[in-house]
Amino acid sequence: MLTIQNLHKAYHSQNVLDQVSLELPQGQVLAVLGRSGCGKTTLLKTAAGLLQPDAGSIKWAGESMDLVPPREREMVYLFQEPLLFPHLSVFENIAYGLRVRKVKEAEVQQKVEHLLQELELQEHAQKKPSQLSGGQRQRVAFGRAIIFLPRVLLLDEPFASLDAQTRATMQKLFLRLARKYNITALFVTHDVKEALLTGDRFAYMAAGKIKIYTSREAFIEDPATGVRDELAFWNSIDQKITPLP
Amino acid sequence: MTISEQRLSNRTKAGAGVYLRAVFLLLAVLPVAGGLLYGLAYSFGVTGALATGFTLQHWQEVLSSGALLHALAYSLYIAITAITTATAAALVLTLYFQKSLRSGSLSYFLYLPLTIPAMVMGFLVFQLLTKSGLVSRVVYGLGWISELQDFPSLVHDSLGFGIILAHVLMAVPFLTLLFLAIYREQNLEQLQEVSTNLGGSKSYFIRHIAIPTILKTAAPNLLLYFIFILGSYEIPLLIGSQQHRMVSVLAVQKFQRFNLLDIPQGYAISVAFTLFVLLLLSISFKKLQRHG
Amino acid sequence: MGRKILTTILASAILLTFLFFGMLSVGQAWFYPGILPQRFSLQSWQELLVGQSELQEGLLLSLVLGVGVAILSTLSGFVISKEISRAKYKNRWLLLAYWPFVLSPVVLAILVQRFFLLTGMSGEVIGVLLGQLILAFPFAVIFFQSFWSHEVLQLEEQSQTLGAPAAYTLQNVLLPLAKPLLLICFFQTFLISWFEYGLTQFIGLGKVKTLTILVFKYVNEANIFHAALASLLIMLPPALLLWLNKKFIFRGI
Repeated sequence: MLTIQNLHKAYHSQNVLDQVSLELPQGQVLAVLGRSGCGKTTLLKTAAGLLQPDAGSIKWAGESMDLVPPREREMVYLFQEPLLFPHLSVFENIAYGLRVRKVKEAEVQQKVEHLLQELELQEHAQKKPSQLSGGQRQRVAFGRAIIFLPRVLLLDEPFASLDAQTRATMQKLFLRLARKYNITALFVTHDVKEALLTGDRFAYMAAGKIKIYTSREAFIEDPATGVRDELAFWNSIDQKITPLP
Repeated sequence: MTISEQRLSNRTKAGAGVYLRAVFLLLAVLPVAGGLLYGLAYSFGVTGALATGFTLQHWQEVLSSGALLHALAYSLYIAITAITTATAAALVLTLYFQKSLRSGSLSYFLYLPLTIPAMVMGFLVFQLLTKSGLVSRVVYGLGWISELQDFPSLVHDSLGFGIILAHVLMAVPFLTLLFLAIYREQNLEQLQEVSTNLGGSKSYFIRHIAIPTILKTAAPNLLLYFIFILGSYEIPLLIGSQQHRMVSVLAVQKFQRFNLLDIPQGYAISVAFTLFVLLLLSISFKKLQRHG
Repeated sequence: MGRKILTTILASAILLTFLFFGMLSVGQAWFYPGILPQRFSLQSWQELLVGQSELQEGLLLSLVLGVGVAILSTLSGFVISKEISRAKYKNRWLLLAYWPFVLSPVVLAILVQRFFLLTGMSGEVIGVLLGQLILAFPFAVIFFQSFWSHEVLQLEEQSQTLGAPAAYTLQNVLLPLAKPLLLICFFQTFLISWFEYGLTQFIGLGKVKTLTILVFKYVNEANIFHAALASLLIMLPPALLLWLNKKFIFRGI
């Protein structure tokens, strides 16, 4: 279980994180909806240990993570752009987290090949990142993050730069793999549909404050999330197309 | 990531950075700053073998003899003339001979002069232009002069012809390569097509688009090159005149004479020149950012 | 037509320069008004290649200094430019880096010579090495600023969160990415040392005889044949580098 308590971070007098608290049981995905500049990147980077909070604590299974350096936290931050190591092949990019942990060669081969299959990237294994499409790159970044089964995945608008169709495929892929590997994840997005699709639990973030919902229904009902507006919009279109008798 | 978040990530992890910054200060800043302070102290008679207690005597001598101001003015004259001539020549080459410079043998040969350091360039110009030099021999062979003494003084001359020529020869290949790179980077080729399309002639394009673009982009480099010429040492040392000295040469001479009283003056000149250059740099540093 | 003539003149002028030095280096007597030397001799070249000669020692010394300055300034410049690139007042730090870089080397030598005299490093190779490092190091710091882009810093963070220790990230991510720039910086700082005269003379007290020092010495002794050979030796390595990759000498903007 990931527990974040009263996380606070300010820059000058502006609160970037304002008393952020949340709990996330193992194997669940918390979808955090928020517009850009709401503090979500800071939240994820602080969880990853890349930023130090001014106050508050981060715990995993009751154990404090505050003094654990990023490389030992096993909380992988996935950047908006798929930041692949440009000089390494697809295979080596995915193998990175295993190589860092000095996993035996045979095991590396077996795990990476298995994951390449899972991601449908077998035939691209030896390509360099520059030879891949945007969606393929994002898949590599995703595979690289989950291969050593980290405690938490921190996804920062991971599919924002993809076209609509690739995006839908990626969302499905994420869901399938999240279930299969029992992944615990904080999934930040500004897209209502994506939040509803990927999340087990839901939160809304604005101006550094986070609001956690007890259920999917509560999330949908809250006017702030904009889900109802969206539904109303589609309903109105629906009505125009098929006018009631 | 917003700007404030970016700044936040910059601020984390101070630890080892303090030591790295200390090394930077030690290697890059301390020599200049410490040297300046020591030079100031020496020139005011506060330290050194001739320390007499605070005195303005050495500065007064340097300033009243006019040696420093004269050397500074002469250096400015050389630097301005050389950089202007070289810039003009490089512009002509870039704008009118681009095709020949980009392909063929010249595209390689243009780089070769960059292998010539100032010391060797000074030696070369000396061997070409001195009264018994190669040019003089060729002219003699053509029957244009009847004896060695008829050949004009082109090195060690008071107008600094030799010095300026040597600097121009060094600067033209460098600046031409720089301008060609800017031409590519700023997409001037496409802009010329746009200009032609809108009815502009080639000369209009060159005067109103190409030259302003190149000079503006190259300004930081031109300024740095100007400062390099201003402080140049090897070339005026080899082919400079006896009456007119550039600042670096003058400063070193003060140390090489056996008169101990000249040393505080040497420090005064070095300090004055350093402050002058640093002032020039600080004023124009914003423009230099691009270069970094 | 005019274009062709001018480019031919330019190309031949550049080539003739090197031929001229080559001719002088094998000359022995060159009396006015002969255009070519009257007597030729391979003596200077022989001196260089066989047995111990001043020129041979100068060549070796220049090489050692150049490689030393290049290694030290490139590595330290790489590491420290990273720290500077993420400093809060980055521009002010960079302005400081320009100080030694724009100052005339000989004036800088005048200002710092007291330190070298006090520490007994004047007239020693180690003193000249340190002096040239003061010129080359800030250059390297400024040079590497372009490498530490936002993207590279993010790649580093990515490597961290994937569990890599700092040394692993340096070895497997940062150094491979920076390799082309490291090479260019190595050669450019090598050339700063290789071409240096004023500071070397002032701090080396004329005792540390690099190739540029020898050129001046021979010119002063009116020994133009040796001076020409020493000049050729100076121009040879950069010409070689040029042949390998133009970027080693001129990087553009």
